[in-house]
Amino acid sequence: MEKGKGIMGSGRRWAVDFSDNSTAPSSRDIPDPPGFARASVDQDDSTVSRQKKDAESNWKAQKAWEVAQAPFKNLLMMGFMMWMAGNTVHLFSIGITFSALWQPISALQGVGKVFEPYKDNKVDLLGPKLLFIALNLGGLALGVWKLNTLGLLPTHASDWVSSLPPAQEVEYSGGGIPL
Amino acid sequence: MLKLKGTLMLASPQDIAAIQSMRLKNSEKSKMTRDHNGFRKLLIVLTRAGKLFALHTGDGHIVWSHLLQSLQKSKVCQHPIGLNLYKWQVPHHHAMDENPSVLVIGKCGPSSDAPGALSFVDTYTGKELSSLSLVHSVAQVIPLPYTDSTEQCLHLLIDADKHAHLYPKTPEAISIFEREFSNIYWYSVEDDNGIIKGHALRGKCTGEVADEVCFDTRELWSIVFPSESEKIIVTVTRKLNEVVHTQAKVIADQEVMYKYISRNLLFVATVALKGSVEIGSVTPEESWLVAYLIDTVTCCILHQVTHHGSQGPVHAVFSENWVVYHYFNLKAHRYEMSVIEIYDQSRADNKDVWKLVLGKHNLTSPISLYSRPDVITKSQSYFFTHSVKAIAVTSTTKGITSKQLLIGTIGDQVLALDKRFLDPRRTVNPTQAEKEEGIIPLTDSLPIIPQSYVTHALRVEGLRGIITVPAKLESTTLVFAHGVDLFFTQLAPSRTYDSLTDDFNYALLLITIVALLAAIFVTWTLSERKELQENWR
Repeated sequence: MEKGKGIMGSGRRWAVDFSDNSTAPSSRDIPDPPGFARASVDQDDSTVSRQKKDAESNWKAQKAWEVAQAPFKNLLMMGFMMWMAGNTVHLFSIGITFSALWQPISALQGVGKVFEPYKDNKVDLLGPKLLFIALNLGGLALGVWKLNTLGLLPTHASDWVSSLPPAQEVEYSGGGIPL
Repeated sequence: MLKLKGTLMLASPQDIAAIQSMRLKNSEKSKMTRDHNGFRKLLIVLTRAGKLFALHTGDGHIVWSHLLQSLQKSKVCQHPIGLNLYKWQVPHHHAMDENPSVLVIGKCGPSSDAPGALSFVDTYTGKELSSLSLVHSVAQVIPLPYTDSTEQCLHLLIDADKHAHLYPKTPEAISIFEREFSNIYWYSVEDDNGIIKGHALRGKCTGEVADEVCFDTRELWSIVFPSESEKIIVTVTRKLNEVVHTQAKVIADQEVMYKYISRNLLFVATVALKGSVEIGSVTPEESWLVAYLIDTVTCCILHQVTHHGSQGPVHAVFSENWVVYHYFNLKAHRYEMSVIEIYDQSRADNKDVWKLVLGKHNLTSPISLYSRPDVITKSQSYFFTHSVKAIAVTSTTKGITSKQLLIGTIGDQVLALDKRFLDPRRTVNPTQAEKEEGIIPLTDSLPIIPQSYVTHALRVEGLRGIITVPAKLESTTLVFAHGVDLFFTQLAPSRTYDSLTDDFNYALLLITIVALLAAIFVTWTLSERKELQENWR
């Protein structure tokens, strides 16, 4: 339709859309038959559209909850992969741990974008958003715990003490066997 | 011209020798400037005859030699003896104007109250900057860790009447010294009557030798070894310029032991009176060896251990928080090496991680030796086959590299032994955590690995001493062994972990980087083009 209009430009239209539901009479190409009133048709349409909107918002809410629960599966998979990676500090285990830490962070940064298609006036997105954030924080905690079992977190006293220089002594003494 | 002849293989043997000597003179290692790694240095050596030499470490050639006038026989000085060399001035801020200089101390006679003679020599040119003939004798020289504004190191000369003289005799040096007056102590070891005395400074001298740089001293403490049963044979302290990197030693299971690092510890070894003669002339029941660790400021004997059935001669080295000493065990008919390590137990309570993170600890605040130290010591002994002439330890600029003991054997060779073999925490069956830490299982004798001889197939005839000097590169240390022969080498105890190997392929690295950048660029444009086509579909 657009192609046709585009090619013909401002000439005569070859295709007419009979199911055009716009209310302003001036915007239509063919005038209405005399005695035809459009208001009643709009009334019916609005109920239908309201039902459609309700259905849409319900569907959106459901989808939002599903999206909010998606990190849970991710969590399980990352947990399994970390268990497979083992307790030694190798390339694989470090890589898995850092990806497990990075994925929740990048997901948390893009919370708004994830829930963008489900944005609606009637749908309360706060609940799904909070669940999403909580699950991602859980994933982050799992990554940090894995980092701890690898021994990379400075939780022992020896991590903070091993770089301290020796203390200076106030007194100084010298001497020895006479020359 | 000679080089051309050499490349065309037309040179005669004399020409080849001339070409090689030219190459050596112009090579990197013999240049007379400092280098980036600190390998090119001048070795200043003083001979017993009073002649001062400067040797270049690149190939050992003599840069200058100087027969000191002040140490020659003259009316003032009848029998001069050169005693020792000390670092006098190392200018860092005025490096363009002044050269480093050394202080040469000699005395004018064999007796202990003969007057001394000082001489200051410029190390780059070999010229004597000034000389002083002293009215007082020189019994001891104590280099102080303070420098004045012209970067001269302060020295305290103690004479036979127990007066202390400060050099340089400038008012600024006197003011610096008087600020630190009450913190300076000195001790004297009289090995012929077995007494160690500790002294403190009292005030300006009174009497006929009054001078503004003369200070009186008073005796604080004395340790008298019973002269019927013990005779002091060796005393050893830490080197003054040694750098220790950390005060904590992390052991297995992330536990921490704090080293007791003090510059004022003295290691004294005494033997039974009868045992101070040659090996084998006394029975094991009549000889014993006692080793003491004494704090020279507070006279506290921190540790004492008796080896029954052992005798000297004893050679010892003291570094960081450990002492290694070598002696003869009469009962087992073998030489033995023992190690003593001291740890500070009073700091072991610092286990709260939050306090350490926030810095609310006092582990780095200055300490006074008068607070009672709570120390524990660990020691072990091992058999060692060789007889020893000298022991030294490698030293590096920051103290991070692991240490090796340099043992000068009776065969005039120098053996490098890793300090990990002399770890008192060695056990016969180390646990898994200890093995990860690097503890070697305990054996009764120390292994002598033939490849670890520093002197390779050479011998340093008449070996008398080994000196190690840190280079600027952390992994390397410079070793100088002297005796009748002189031997100099560079050692890397943990192999050169901080520099690339000589045959590192820089070209390959650059080509790889360029190729990867090109590949990134090409694939980026391809992917952009593909995306654009997808959007237009």
